[in-house]
Amino acid sequence: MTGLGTILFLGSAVCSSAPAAGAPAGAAGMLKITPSEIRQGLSYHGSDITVIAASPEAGDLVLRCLGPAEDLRLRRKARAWGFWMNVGEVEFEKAPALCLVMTSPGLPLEEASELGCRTLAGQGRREAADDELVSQLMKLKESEGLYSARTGGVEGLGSHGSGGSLVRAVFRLPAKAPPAEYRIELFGRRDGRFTLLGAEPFTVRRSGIPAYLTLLLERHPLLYGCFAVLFACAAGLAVGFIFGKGRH
Amino acid sequence: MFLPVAGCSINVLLLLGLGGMVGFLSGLFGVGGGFVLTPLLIMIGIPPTVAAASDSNQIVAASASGMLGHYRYGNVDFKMGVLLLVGGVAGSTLGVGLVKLLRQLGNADFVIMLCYVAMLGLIGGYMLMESLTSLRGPQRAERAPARELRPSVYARIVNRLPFQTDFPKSGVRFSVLLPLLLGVVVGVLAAIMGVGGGFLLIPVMVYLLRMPMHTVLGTSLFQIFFTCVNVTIMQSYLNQTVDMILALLLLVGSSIGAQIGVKVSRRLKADQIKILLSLIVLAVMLVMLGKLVLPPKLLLAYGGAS
Repeated sequence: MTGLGTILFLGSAVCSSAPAAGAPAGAAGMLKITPSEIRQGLSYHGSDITVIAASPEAGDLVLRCLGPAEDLRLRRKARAWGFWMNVGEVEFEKAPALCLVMTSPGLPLEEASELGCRTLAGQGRREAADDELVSQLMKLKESEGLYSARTGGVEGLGSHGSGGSLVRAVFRLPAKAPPAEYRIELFGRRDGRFTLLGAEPFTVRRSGIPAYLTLLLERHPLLYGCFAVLFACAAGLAVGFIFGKGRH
Repeated sequence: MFLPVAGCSINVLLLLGLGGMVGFLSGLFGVGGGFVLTPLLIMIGIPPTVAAASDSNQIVAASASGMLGHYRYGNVDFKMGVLLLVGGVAGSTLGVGLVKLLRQLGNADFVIMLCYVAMLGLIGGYMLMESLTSLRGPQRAERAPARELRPSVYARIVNRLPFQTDFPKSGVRFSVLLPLLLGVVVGVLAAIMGVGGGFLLIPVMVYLLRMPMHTVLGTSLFQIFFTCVNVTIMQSYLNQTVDMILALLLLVGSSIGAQIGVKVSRRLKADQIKILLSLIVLAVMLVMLGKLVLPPKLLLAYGGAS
């Protein structure tokens, strides 16, 4: 079982690197991500990412899966003269494409809100009037499965070494997650504040036919367009002929 | 299946079914079906711009298939179609410029939605009433002789236009200017409302060009075919929003659906087809009105078609 092997590997690594009781200030957490590369092929429909993390200290932990930050331009609807319509654009600077947060069972999400999706997404919008806008953004992203938060998602696997603990979490990556570099971060709480204990990257990329088509579209868009049209014509006419045979 | 440009994963059967349903509409009524399929695609989670562009790609297949079906029955009036198309291209170019102007004045979207609702309501309502009254046929026939003595103002103007020519497939005689000008008007409206123009063109062909219903269907598919070929290539080139896998799944369903639609259209009378189409147009109008008046679930949306 690879899981057990991983636990033993991480356990021994932590043991050998933390000599004294109580973690020294510089001790780092370690993470192992399975799979370390997601390939989006034709039959891809989202995937589960298992993270096993070794923390140099016991206590409540937060695991966060983060996608690249992007500037978003969204259209806003509001009511005017009895009708709902697009009244303008709303910009969000540096909102993460993906933000999945999991905490230890004893740690409610409200206490970890500084690490949460809302804080990250609303960075550019600090005023009180923007609260509603950020809430709407959260609703949008949550409906796509790109933002989520869960208490108890970080499952304890036991303690080891000198005061450290081993945990596991499974993140559900939706098919909508764009190809990019992602990272999973481990946070622990010290003196009431959250500190980053360790991080590990993983990649999401297209593969197979989707990769080929995306490349063709980027490099030779005109050719792609013509190809799409010709293919559609051929398919349409082919079906027409097949149906025609039955008649005459 | 995973759709690379749309960036999401959708059930194959769902896409085949949607395509089939819309293709059926295409073959039966001669409309592109775009105004039904694009909103449906957006509802299942495909980004609006990708939905619109890939839908155009799919319409190329459905209209090619439907056009072939109608062509076999002699229903495509190429002469009329080309004239309407030339007018349509000129009109849609004008229309795009008009939209740009509207954008600068602010709130173009709202004007566009209102246009939609108004046009759909007018066209749907008029078609429905007209078809219902002509279904009552027999009593009206007696009044026909009296009416012929006073041709309408429209008919008189039209008959005076230069460059009169015959359109044998449709059995009508008009100036070439008429389809050209009408094509321009439809093109402008189509550009403003962002549609292929099928549901605008059909009433024009039926009421203003007096073409028989079956020729109307084939010729309208002809015009839609070329419009969508243009849109697909432009969207790929300028916006990179065409998802070929999505289009492929849709078009397998819609080509087959279109063929079935053509066969069914042969069995219905012109008036029946008109009534059904007007009902669908009115239904779409109600849905749009609903979208305008009822509060939406999400107040923020990604950019693209509304």
